[in-house]
Amino acid sequence: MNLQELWFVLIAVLFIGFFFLEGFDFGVGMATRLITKSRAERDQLVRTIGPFWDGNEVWLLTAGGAIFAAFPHWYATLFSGYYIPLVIVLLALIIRGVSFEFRNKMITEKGRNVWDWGLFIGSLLPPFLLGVLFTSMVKGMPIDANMNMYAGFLDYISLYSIVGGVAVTLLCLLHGLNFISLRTLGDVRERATALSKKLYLLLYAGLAAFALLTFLYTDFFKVRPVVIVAILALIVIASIIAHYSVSRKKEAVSFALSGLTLCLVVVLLFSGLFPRVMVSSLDPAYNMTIYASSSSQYTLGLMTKVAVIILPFVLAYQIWSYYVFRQRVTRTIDAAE
Amino acid sequence: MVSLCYGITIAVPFVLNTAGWLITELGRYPWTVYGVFTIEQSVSPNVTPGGVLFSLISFVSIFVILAAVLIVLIKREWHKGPYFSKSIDEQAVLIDPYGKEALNK
Repeated sequence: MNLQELWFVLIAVLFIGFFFLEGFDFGVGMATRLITKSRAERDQLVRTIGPFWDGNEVWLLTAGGAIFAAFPHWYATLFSGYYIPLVIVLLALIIRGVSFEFRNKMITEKGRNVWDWGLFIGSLLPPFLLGVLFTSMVKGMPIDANMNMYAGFLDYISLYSIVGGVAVTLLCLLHGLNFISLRTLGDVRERATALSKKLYLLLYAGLAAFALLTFLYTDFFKVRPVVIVAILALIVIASIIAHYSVSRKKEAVSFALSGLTLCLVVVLLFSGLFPRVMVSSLDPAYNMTIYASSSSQYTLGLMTKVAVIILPFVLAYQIWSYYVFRQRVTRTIDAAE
Repeated sequence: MVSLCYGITIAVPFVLNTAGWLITELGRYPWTVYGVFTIEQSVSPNVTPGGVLFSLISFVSIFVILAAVLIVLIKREWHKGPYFSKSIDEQAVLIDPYGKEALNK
């Protein structure tokens, strides 16, 4: 394995980490509007992710940073080509980030509601838009010979990218609901389990549509038929076992499997892409590969050394923070209730 | 008068921090990467002026709103004065996340 291949895999790993971890806190953010009946319950849900969400978000920044350093041409085409969608993702993440702090500091009910809605919308938009971004990216975007992408609204938005966006949002919501079932006590735990059980039926329909549209819109089944079919089969199997575990109240298993489903979606997209990083809809000759998009061997070698030294520490303190806050979260007695 | 001084000292770090950024960003003009490429050469050919205007307006607006909220919140804290009431102290002991009680609960 050469360094370009190694960094392509590492970037996939960073996105896997991001969707597994931030996936559930996006889901918890969405659930604050779906399964709660009082402010005390919303607070309870927010406290399940309070110590973790910002650490989880760093995985996205690291993935973007790794693309920048390892594959500068990919970074330039991706971030300029998806300028407006990424600006909206960033705005949503800014509002979400401050709403965690501001929702507790407002003295009026109206003020608290504003930031509660900020948390909900800030948790709903990014997974949807990132789903749209990735699906439209693997479908192919108008990239010319100079690696510039001139995309209009209809290049971003197609039936496939909408289904992809909804599927990623739904997977994050399910992962969040399974996290709530695992991490709380009381009514919200029951409601999260009940909603998760129902939503899996919707997910099956979404996955079937996503698989069919992947066949119609991308060349994945031609490029790597065996691998793609195998990963799709694993996604379906993981979802069925997760669904069964939700009904049987095996909370740790269902949480692990809804996370695995998200990871497998990333694996699916990256293995269909390899060795390309961006697909051109204009001409296959303009497809961008890891070899043509990467930085120098020296840069990649240095990055590899730094990553090998730093990564164990980052993983260790993230794992430690989950260990410290391992107790289930209860509802605080709210005087206003 | 004392109150005004507090107000100014709260604002000064923010102003200085921003001034530092302005110096690094504007002082590099006309280079984006010093001596390698100019701002003119670094413009993305496929990002439209409308798109740039949209991002500029939305970022400026959101930061103005957040700054306004921040000022209101800081003012509210500052009017409480430097003394903790006993009840807040007691609460702080109860919810201390590093306390043994928090872990054994």
